[in-house]
Amino acid sequence: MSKIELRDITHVYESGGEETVAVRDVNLTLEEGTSNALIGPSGCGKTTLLNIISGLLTPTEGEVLIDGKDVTELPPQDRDIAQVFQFPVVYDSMDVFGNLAFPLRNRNVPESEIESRVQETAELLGLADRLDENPGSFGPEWSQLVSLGRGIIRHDTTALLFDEPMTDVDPGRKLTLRRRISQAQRRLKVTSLYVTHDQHEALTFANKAAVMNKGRIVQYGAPEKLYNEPVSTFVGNFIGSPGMNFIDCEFDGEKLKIGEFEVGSSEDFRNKLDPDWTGLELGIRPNLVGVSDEPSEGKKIPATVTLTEHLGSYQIITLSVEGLGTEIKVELPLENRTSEGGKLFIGMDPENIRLFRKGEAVDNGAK
Amino acid sequence: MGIEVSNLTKNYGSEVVLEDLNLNVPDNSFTSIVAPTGAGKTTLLRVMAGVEKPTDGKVYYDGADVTDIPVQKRNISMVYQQFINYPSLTLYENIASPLRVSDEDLSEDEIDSRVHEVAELLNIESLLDHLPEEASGGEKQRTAIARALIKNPQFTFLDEPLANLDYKLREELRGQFQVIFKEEESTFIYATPAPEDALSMSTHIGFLHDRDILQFGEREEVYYHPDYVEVGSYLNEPPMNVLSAELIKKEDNYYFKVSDDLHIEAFDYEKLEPGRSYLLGIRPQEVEIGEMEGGISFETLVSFNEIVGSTTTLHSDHKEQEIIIFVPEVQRRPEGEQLTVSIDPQKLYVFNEETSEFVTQGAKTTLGEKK
Repeated sequence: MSKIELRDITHVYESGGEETVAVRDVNLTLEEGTSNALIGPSGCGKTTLLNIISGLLTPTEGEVLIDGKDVTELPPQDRDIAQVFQFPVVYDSMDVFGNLAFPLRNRNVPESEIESRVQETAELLGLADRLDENPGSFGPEWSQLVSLGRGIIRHDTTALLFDEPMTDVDPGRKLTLRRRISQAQRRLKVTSLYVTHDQHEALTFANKAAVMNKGRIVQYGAPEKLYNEPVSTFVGNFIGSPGMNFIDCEFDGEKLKIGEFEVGSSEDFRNKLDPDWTGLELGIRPNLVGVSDEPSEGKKIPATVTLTEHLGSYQIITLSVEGLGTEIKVELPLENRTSEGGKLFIGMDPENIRLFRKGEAVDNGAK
Repeated sequence: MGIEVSNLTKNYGSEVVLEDLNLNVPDNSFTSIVAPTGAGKTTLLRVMAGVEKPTDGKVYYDGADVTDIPVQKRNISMVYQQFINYPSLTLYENIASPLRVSDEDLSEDEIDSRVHEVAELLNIESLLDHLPEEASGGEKQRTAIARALIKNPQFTFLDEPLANLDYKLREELRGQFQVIFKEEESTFIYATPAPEDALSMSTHIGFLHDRDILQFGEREEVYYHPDYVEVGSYLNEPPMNVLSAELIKKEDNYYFKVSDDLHIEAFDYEKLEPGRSYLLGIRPQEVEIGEMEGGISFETLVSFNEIVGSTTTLHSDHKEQEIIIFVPEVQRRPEGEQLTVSIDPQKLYVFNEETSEFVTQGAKTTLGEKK
């Protein structure tokens, strides 16, 4: 269990004389015993960063420190980092017990100790009943637990890295695997980094998550901070499913308007906004848009339903507002029987609005 | 009309992948074939498309037997999980390629206008002169979809086309698929393991299980009236809670005994048998925290909570039975907290524990009573 620091990391790939900067000026500290996530779209550099931590890659610039010691040039096997990969790795020539015991036997740990350590790890992961089974016949979620068990069974593991471990797991099984992985991390307090493009996995696993875009870490913070106070429209869109709605707006010193409609304004806005600013966008989460069948106080903007999407336990409706270039997504319970072409009235409470100028959050003091 | 699959069996060596399967895909439908990985979805699509021949059984297009007609002679298209494009051709030429090799002999103007039409539909018009290697994963897949649509195929088969994409792109394309489906006059057959993909886009859903289609119907019908516990459980996100309970008759009262502390008054008991075990299905979004008027309350122990943005998925245990609670707001509940929750018995589904078949359900939804 260690503290991991990345200092001024930049990584450049070269191929055919062309240079691609995959990671740019990254500084990140994973405190001892914490669970962290690294999240971003394909090609944002998250896998490169993961490989730099594990030692598979040496960064072009910068340093990797484990407990203050520079390990930048150290090969993976000397870093004592355990890794759970996208596709589970199990040895089907041995049973689950043998798989879990493998790293200990390699290190000549006495058999009596192996026995108790295997039991302990198996219980933590819900594998205790399956120790004599062959994992070769397991589905991906059980195989991943075996992989994870092999990673955490050693007591000298400095950190645990996960690289998209749910890729192969069926939707209905992800729930249990998410819980088992998180619970194991919390009990063992291993410093962990979970790399994914899926916000659900990142936000449920991590105490703190780093959002990456184009090689840079654009925000690092607690999940609720990323969701409630995104620093940019990129983060606001990437975190949340669907992401935050962004609507062009104007502020005349008194009122905040989208198209011809006035939306609520607050003293905070008046204090923080400059009427001369251009490129202003209003951001609001789909669950915070007020909706009503009839025009009512605070919900006066007429909208037409263009799309409904049933998402398994709630629905997302897409609305278009005349004169507004963007569509607005709203989250509703399944009981609301809206259909395409239907008319609704929407409104936005100033408390729920965040403002962005040229893609960056304006600190508007709202919650 | 549409596609009819009749008594289909498909073996690979000694492995039986599909067995005596029957399915009718209605014309102009968006039909999703839903199943976990490895259930045979891809095989079913390939046999329907004619890429593979069935071991036994027939495939009919609009009533005509096409079982022995090779795929090249059929008016169909396929989109795969992997983004397949010709690397040396621009996205424009990739999309145009099916028209260039077709017998139709179209003029350049006709090809050009059709390429632009489908490219616009898929939001890749500005990238047409790029090579595939310059495009992102999402753009490559959009190109593959555009190429599939350009011939105006009667049937478009989509085999997990979103599987290799980021969740954000999936989200975007899910919405777009609905728009494309409305624009194009093609029947879509879409294989996916993801319940939200099937529920958000399709008009019809077929649930593949144990080498056969377990249930097929209109989306709402399959969602609200699952014929088997497997269907009900799978087609909710998070999956439906399934509690095992015995039906007890005490004097003139019938109730389900989930545990010593949880008894639920039974309904429709003429369909039920005292002493028999049933599975009670309740959706995580129908379990409420606290008391509920007309509801049944019980205690459950929080084991884990997952907060994602504005929603919370609480994992809990009621006497060894797992109960998942989906709350559309942020609820931070510590592990080990004893929680009072309530369910409305009207929202319960009852399945036979032995056969997993649907027996009865509390509320008749707005769709009316089933058969």
